[in-house]
Amino acid sequence: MPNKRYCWSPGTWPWQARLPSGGLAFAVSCLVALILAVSGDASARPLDEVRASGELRVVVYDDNAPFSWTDASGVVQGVDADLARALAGELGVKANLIARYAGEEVDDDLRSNIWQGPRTGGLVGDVMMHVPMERAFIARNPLVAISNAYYHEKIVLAVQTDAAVPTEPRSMLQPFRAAKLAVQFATVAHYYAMFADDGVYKANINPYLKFETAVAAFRSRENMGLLGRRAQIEAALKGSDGFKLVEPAFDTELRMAWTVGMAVKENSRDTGYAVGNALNALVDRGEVAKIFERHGLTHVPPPVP
Amino acid sequence: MKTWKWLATASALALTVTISEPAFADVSIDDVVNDAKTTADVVSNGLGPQGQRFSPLKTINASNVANLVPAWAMSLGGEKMRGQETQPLVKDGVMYITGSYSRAWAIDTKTGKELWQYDARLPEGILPCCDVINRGGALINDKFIFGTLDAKLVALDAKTGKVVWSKKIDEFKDGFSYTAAPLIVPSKAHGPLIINGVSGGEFGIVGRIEARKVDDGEVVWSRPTIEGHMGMLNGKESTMTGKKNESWPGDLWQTGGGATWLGGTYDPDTKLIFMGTGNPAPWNSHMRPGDNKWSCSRLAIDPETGEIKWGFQTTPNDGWDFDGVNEVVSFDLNGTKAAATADRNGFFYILNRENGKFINAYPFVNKISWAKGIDKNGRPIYIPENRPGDPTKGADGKKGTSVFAVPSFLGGKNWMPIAYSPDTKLFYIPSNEWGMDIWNEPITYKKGAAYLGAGFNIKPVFDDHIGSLKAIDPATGETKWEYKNTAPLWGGVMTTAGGLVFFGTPEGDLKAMDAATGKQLWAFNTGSGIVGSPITWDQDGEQYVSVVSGWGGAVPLWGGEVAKTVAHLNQGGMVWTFKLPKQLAQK
Repeated sequence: MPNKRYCWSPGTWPWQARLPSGGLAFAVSCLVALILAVSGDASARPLDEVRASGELRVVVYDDNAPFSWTDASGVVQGVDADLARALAGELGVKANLIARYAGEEVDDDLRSNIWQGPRTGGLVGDVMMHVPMERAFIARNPLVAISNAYYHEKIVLAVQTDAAVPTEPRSMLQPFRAAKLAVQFATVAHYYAMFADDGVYKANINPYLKFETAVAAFRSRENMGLLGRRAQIEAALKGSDGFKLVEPAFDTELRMAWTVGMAVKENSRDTGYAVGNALNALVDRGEVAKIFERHGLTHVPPPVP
Repeated sequence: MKTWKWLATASALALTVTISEPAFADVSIDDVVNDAKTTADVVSNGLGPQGQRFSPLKTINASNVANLVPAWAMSLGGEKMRGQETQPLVKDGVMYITGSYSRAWAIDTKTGKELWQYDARLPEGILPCCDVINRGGALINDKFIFGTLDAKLVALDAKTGKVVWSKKIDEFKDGFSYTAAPLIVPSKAHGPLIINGVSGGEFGIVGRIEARKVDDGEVVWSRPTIEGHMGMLNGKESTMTGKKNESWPGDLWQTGGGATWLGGTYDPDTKLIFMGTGNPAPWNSHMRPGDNKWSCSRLAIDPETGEIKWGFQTTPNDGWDFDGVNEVVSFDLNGTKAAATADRNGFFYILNRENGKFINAYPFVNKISWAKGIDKNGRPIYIPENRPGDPTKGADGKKGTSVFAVPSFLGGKNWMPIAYSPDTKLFYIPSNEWGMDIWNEPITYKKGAAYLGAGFNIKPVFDDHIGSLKAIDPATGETKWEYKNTAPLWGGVMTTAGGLVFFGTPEGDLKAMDAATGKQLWAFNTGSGIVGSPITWDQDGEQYVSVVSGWGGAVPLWGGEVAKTVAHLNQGGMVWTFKLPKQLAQK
């Protein structure tokens, strides 16, 4: 019996439940999931086709380190790539990894990678990795089913070791009334820093178009802090000392933390259920945490609903 | 017997084709500069570098246009049926067009026979934001030059369609592409130059205008559009655009936007290039108090050096995504060297093209909600409550105040070019009457991570139409006539000395209207929507009209209520050429 925590179905998180009782919705959808998995519902690229073809087509982002990127020899690397390989292994098939560039928004990527295919030609995937799980986002993409949460992304703060940072999480940005803070341009971190606490940090925010440039401008001590996604910061600074990570509390309704999951086509849900079971098995065996560790990251599991 | 007859006919036909095989003459820079006056060819985007889209031809006129019939049609073939936004070029019996998916063709203008086809090999997984269109090429010397969706400029041998050179404008992996028709301009210092901008690009890139040599595509100068950035000339730094931080807070000028995605026009009289610039970054205008120059502007540039001679900003501190990229058309306004431009923001601006001084501005759509008008200096008189709110100040904190803004971000006018008739002294503006709910959205996702965005929902302003072609007097702003169209207009306009205005509709009609009254005199349905621009030329004493048909572009990519007016339209890809039957042409 799969670990209930990862029982696959959209609408199972309390904050996206449409039935009066989130608990009831959760139980019913788990039951439906089980029945569908057993009966093997026929659909676009359902599980039996995946198994028959001997491969699971998984789309990952290109140029999205540390989660996925194509290395110099053309091999797709990263957490998402390794996780996809492990998931395919659990299903007894090979992973066919397709690395694609990102469109303007993830909604466009779902169209290109899952339910329609790229406008310029190419295959759709059975599964797409690194899809955010958020109620409004899921609701506006009804042609895909999004679930199989595997990571919780959060905006954190890296500072130079010698920087004095208040221990109170809500006050951790206070030093940037005077010191410089690096952010990636137009990210939620940038936005928050510009406006937090009535804009007192505004003059000290240095936005960089590329995250790598922001990291370089932090390493060089041009900036005392770097505010951004935990995974990116951990990966960029792994193995180096002279900095520490802290978790500020953000006083905002902006999305400063979100859960990362996967998408399958709406009519190929059974593939999603099977991947969900495989994910649970890998989590239980500690394999997922090992994959994150291998890339210098902490595996932060999605919050338990 | 029957077979024999058929063979005889076929070989006679083949013989005819061989005899009239086109000449493939070179296109000189004088041909380009004088294009508006020469009726036998069309060698520039805009039927002349000033972009008036006016032809002195009058063989086809208001009294006989009703008799116009197809001369030939050619399919662009393949499965690649998507928006055809090109404007054909014609030189010595050969038509050159570009098509969706970065393709190009040379066609015999007499028969419609394909002479060559070029298909750019596009990398897998390119993600052009706004359909896979192309807006046309340029002819100079022995080359046909156009841009590709993977952000390259390609020069083909006009005779064979073989690649002479191919230059990367920018990195497609960072979201760059190229869809505009390159502009050809003369220069004393460098000879003829190819002028290109940049399309697309990661949010926060800085727009620029480049001049390249015809022979090898090497960059001669480059001019960034956002103040604080350095220009280049002959491989060295030249001058800074504007003054750093003059109209931008902090370091935001470094990621200021201002993409130059629609190409430009050239005025041989003042020897200036006119180019428009896109919206500033980031979306949320509350993050960048100030005018944010030169985003949402028109720039006049010296082709010799790439220096900015003047700039005029249509939407300072843009908060509605009113790109300022629309074309600048040079014309004579009662002896003043003027230029006109119909902006996304719904106002039709008349400027002095020698110095960029503001002359006047008139609304060219029926409703404008974001500004009360334009003051005597050319600045919008904003209506502050109709600026999308700051999400951090929103009542629910989840999104900023939503406002209904008219026009929508697709503009009172989008990319589709206007036309000017020196005969009627009227501008013909293909416009759209639509608005949008717009709010600043703190939760949009890019590459799986939370980013900032803006939410849009486009809505028609009227129940019965969105598209509106208006004839407007640039001296008074008076609308002389209006044609209303159910679906949004998305193709260019042409006017002729025959007293006619030609334009296409998404419903598929190529229409001819009386230039003075707006009365419809002729229409022909091409079988798919028209989003390209018509041309006309004469050959062996006959006047031809051509347009490329094929529905697509940005409109079908947007949902909401607008989608209802276009959902039933079919894809296509066909060049249509029309003429008068000989016996009727004399009338």
